[in-house]
Amino acid sequence: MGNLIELFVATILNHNIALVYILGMCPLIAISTNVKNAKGMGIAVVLVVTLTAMINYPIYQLLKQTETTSLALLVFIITIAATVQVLEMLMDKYLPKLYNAFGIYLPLITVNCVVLAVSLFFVNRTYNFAETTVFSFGSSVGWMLAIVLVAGIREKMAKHSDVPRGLKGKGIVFVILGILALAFIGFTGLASI
Amino acid sequence: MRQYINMLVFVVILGSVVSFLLVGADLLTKDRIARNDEALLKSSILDAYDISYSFNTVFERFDETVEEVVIENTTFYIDKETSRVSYIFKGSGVWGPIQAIMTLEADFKTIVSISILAQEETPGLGGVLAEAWYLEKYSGTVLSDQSPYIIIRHGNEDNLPNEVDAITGGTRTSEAFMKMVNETYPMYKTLFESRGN
Amino acid sequence: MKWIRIKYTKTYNLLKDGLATSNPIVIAVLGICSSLAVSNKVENAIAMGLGVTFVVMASSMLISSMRSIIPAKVRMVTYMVVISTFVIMFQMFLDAYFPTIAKSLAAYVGLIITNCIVMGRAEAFAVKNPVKYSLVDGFASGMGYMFILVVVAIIREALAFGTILNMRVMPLSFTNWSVMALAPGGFFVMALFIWGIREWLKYYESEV
Repeated sequence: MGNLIELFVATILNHNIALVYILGMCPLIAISTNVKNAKGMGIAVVLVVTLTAMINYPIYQLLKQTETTSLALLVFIITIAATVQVLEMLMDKYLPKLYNAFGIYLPLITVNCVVLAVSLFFVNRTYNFAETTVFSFGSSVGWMLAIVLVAGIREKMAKHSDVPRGLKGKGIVFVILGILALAFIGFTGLASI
Repeated sequence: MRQYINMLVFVVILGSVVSFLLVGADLLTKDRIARNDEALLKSSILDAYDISYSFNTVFERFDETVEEVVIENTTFYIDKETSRVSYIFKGSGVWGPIQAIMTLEADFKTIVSISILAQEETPGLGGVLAEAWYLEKYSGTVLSDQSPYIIIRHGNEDNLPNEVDAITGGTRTSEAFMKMVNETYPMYKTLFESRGN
Repeated sequence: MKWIRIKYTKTYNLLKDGLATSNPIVIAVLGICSSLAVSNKVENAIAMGLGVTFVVMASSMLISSMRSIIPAKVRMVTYMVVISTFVIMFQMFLDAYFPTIAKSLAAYVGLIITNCIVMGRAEAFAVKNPVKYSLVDGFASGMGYMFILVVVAIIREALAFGTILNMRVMPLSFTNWSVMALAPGGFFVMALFIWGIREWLKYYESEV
């Protein structure tokens, strides 16, 4: 049990998938304009990543048994796309308010590198099911933390700073991300995965 | 409704074509890839024992000079001349699996060399793990008798016999590799000693 | 031959777009995840740039030739499936016939499959245009990506290791700026680049 708690803390701090592994940057840069959007995207990512990791785990065990692990990457991509599609349809039908709030982000998540990377990581590190669940949940929460941090900083900068016109928009996000990544290096060695 | 059927049919056809291509390519290249891997393994072991060979004679030289001993499904490679032992050990690095060969002197404690068979670490940072100048640092390191067998150097004094340097900028890879060595070594040691040698 | 005529050809404009006015990294800000990891040394940047160019050209060509039969709703999935199949098959081919090259490129394969540039060009261009122009567009985007990557790598490698292409350029008394080898250094150098090139092209975004 303690192992799982350490894994959870590690994935948010010193193995943060956005600020230490630098994955999932494209949507992070595009959607961190204000905190409301960032929260919406973050929650959608947490949902999709955890769900798909939990689905991909038994599928990978099946692939291992039939010795066709060369198809693993492809199968993961298809299950991710299918999960997102089904999730979108279910949300549209049964939770319309929620769908209006962050449903538009769901199709974008299919191409987010974080989803595929989490599945590839649990394969690489041979986690069991409990560890996979905690790892995927923690990684996606870590990503959400990163995007909300960046969004918060950008919101404040829009109001109070005089950003040079060449850096406005996506340029300044790089500087913000650089400083955050530098800060997160300070967590090295905190918890082990 | 018609739309959904269209979509489904397309996905199914695409899925089958793609699976067919991938499995086909896998079958076609499997043998060559296996042979390449074997050649790489054997040439790395011959290098570790300082035995000369040429590109075409790898397999023959290997059969002449190296003895393969299998203990409980694990293969150990022993140099017939100097009794040096090698084994393959695997673990997970930061981005992907790492596969390496550990070559030890006959006492199973002093490292002759480590060579990396496969790794997917960040090129230039963790990827330095596979470069010759870094791996040379492992030659001559003596593994200690109890855990941890190998440790990463902290501080500025000279290395203890079982200390190695970490990779600048590749902290996580260095730690993962250390973990890999430390976890697999006792296992192989017990197996080898059970041979009664 | 009237050189001025070239300025009006579609090919020239596509090349200009990919390399400058719609440069995938600086203007469209795509493909960032991979560019930070591999721009720490010039040789890695060149390898990655060539790899991405090749994959973008091939996948744009494949998607463009399939464009009339892909149903609208499963576009994204189709792109991902086609791209990853192609990359995996190519990797298997390299593993079998050129094992040394395959070993040194092993780390890049994952980065290329999930690279947003490949998907971005497929969605924005290849699915709506004939094969000939998709090839040129793919080449232009790939070259634009490689150009930025190589220039950033030159700066980062010189500051972080003191070498360019493993040849010493900094004086021996120079202490290495290790931060340039890690991700934050990459972010900062790229930010400076984006600033410079956007000022030069006069492409500004309106809000932070």
